[in-house]
Amino acid sequence: MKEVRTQDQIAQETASLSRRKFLNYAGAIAGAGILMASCKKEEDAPVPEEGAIELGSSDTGLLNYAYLLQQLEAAFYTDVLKNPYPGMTNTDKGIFTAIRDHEIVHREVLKNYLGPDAIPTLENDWSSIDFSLKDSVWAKAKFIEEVVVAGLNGICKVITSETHLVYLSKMTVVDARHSATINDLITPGTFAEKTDNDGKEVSQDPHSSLDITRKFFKKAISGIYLPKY
Amino acid sequence: MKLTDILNEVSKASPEVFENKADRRDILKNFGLKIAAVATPFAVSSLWANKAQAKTTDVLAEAIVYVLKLGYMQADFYRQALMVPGLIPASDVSAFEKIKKDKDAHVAYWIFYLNATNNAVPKKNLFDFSVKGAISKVFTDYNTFLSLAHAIEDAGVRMYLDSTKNLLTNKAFRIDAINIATTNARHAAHVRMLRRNLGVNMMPWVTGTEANSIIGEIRKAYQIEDNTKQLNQTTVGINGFDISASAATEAFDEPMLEVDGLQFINPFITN
Repeated sequence: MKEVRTQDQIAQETASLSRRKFLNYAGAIAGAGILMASCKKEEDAPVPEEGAIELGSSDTGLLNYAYLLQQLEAAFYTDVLKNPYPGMTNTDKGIFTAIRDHEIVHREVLKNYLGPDAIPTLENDWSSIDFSLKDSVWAKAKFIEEVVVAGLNGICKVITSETHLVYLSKMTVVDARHSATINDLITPGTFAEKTDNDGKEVSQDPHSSLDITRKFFKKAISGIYLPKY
Repeated sequence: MKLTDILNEVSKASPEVFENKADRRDILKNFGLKIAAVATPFAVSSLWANKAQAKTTDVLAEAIVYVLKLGYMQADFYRQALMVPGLIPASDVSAFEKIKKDKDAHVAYWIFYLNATNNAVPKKNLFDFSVKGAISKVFTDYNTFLSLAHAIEDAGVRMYLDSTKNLLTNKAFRIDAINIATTNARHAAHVRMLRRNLGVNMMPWVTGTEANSIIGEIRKAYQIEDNTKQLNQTTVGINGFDISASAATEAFDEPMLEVDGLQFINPFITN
């Protein structure tokens, strides 16, 4: 279990590190800029990655990202139950089945709602998971739920339509219930271990969230047009 | 590079740090203005003249006062419970201390921002969780305590979902509300797991309206939780998947209207 979690943590740390680096970098530029003669910096238009699945812009892009997160969760639990690790108890099976069904509903509602704007169903890259190992499966469930809750909350910050906000918030609180349950079943009492000093979930902006999520998919996924925090 | 460009760069590079401060500072200017987002400078100044009047109808401040009232109730519920020796088994005490710590933090957080924006902070209520003896065993029987605890938690999640809508115009407060809502959902799931471990047939998520789990007024916590329509789609059996009515209702928590939320909270308030 440790090994798998460590990989994930590295991925997460790398994502936040690159943001930090950028921050420092921006700071350095800012300092240098004051010394430099004034010169107008043009806004660079983002360049889409060739062959990548494009999530899109504005609320549609954000809903597509939410859809991607739900694709990830639903596919994960579907495969966990298709390839049960040796010794999976009925309780484990019951929990995974219930969660899987919730995630399928989350996913399908978004798929229907997005209609022609929906990204396709994307094939997963499960190379970081060993479905035959109980610890690997639970550690990954924990990781995925935490990433999804943080990501959905981040989407909620930048989405503009009230209808979309209501739908996403109704969904993320249930994903938080999943996350708490998985945490408690791994280590009792860890249901809210990552809240900040204000007792709040630590949300994540869609761009850095996608940096973590995309490794679970085989195709390249681009979110360059997604709204920023 | 001009100074404005530099600021632009920095604000893009440090979303959290920059926006959290800037957004809420904006509120200092905009608080009390119901139509802050579209207000012209002229409208702003004329509305400021009526600040006292505008304040009472302010959507943001009202939403915050509402969730603060909920926070008062939740924090006091665990404060009272943790003072009763032997109510909570030793193995579960630290979890309830953690929950109380989060609730206290939520209360402190909203009080801070009401003060910072010159809005009145409602007084802390006194609570009787036995509701004049109707739930006489609330702090003497662990199972009764847990059943009220998860009702308060589940209802609390739903109240936050409703308040989130009223915070739509402000990204900073909106994300605060969402981030507190998911923390509360974590608390709810934990309490429900504890009850499940005592042999009660319940999952960490809410199935239908939980008709058998609680009594009387407290049932209000679960009104319309059995909704099976989302974004105008029927969720039972959606797209041919084998989704039961139970699973369809569990997959979402439903916002609780403020009028219902207050009806839930008020019976517990003694003054």
